[in-house]
Amino acid sequence: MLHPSKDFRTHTWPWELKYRGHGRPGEYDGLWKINAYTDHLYTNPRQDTCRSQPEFHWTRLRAVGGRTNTWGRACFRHGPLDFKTKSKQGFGEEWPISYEELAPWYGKAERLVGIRGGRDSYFNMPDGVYAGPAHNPRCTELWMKGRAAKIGVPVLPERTAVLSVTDDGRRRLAHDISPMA
Amino acid sequence: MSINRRAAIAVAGWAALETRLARARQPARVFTPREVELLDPVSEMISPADRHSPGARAAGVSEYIHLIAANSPPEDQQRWRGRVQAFAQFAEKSQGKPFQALGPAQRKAVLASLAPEESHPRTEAGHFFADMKQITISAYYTSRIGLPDELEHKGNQAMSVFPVCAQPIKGHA
Ligand SMILES: Cc1cc2nc3c(=O)[nH]c(=O)nc-3n(C[C@H](O)[C@H](O)[C@H](O)COP(=O)(O)OP(=O)(O)OC[C@H]3O[C@@H](n4cnc5c(N)ncnc54)[C@H](O)[C@@H]3O)c2cc1C
Repeated sequence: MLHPSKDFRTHTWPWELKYRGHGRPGEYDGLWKINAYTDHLYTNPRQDTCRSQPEFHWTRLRAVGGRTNTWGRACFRHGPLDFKTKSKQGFGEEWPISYEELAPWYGKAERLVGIRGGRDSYFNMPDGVYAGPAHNPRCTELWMKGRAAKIGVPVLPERTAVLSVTDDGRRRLAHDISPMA
Repeated sequence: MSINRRAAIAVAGWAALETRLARARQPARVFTPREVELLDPVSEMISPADRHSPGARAAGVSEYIHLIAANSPPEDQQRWRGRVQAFAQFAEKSQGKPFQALGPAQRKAVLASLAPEESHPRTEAGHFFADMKQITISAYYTSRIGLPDELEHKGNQAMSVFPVCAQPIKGHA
């Protein structure tokens, strides 16, 4: 069983770890999300005994409940284009379902999870059903947004399963979130 | 920590480095003691102690460089050694004396002549400067002095609301 107060190093400072959080040089190169803060949680794919193609990156949690304990809580819907890349963009394969068919199920899942996000009406990034508006941007993110706007690049808030609003009578807590993607 | 105490730690000379290294229980040596006398002031020049904050020395940058170098694969250790030697030769050639024997202005001149190479090093000495700057910044801002004290980073925290940006950065449109 994962014990959040004992098993997560979320509040560990870099100087409390031997290599200031970077790990022994080369130790985590090429591994996704596995680093000095998390390596006790995951299996090391380099030591896996099962055979798999090198381009697959396995991130397997050594804990009851799996990766759902450690995910980043980003909750984006796929857009219409993503389901039909072959016919619309000339690569990949068509999904047997369309975005329109899946949309109501996205809505159900979003309501169940409780998500904050903006109504951004951005191309191929459909808005979902959100319990609250997007989190406030940090000062650096505002700055970035202003600069990016000058070259026509939009900077939009992340849709994230981190609530600090009451939803279905449940009060939830925001925790060191990165509200902009 | 009071400013005086910070300053006292910061000005403690590199004579104490050997003791501090021993205390940090460093594994196999990569650099000679003579090279240590060069690495330590270079990192301090990159991130010096001043009125605003303590410098690289107080933040344990040299210890970090040793730790990283000593635990790197042999080819990386070779590269570190090659570059520190190239830097030593460059300093001696351009200023007429070993770096360790130079005064502050001459040391500064050595670094200033390598600084333009930083983003695209052309020489091994230029690489040494770029490497040192990168590792100094990395070590400094992962220390207590650099991260919470200087950058005022609060660490990960639980919050019931995510605050609005109170002081927008100057120049944002
Ligand atoms: C660090 C990280 C960040 C992520 N961020 C995001 C994100 O921001 N947004 C997003 O959408 N997704 C994200 N993901 C992906 C997301 O976490 C996973 O896709 C999702 O959690 C998978 O859920 P699952 O229930 O399929 O599998 P898991 O949550 O991994 O659950 C699998 C379960 O099966 C159990 N199990 C395995 N083998 C056996 C066996 N032989 N017998 C019995 N039980 C077994 C495991 O113990 C585990 O409890 C992230 C993943 C990681 C690791």
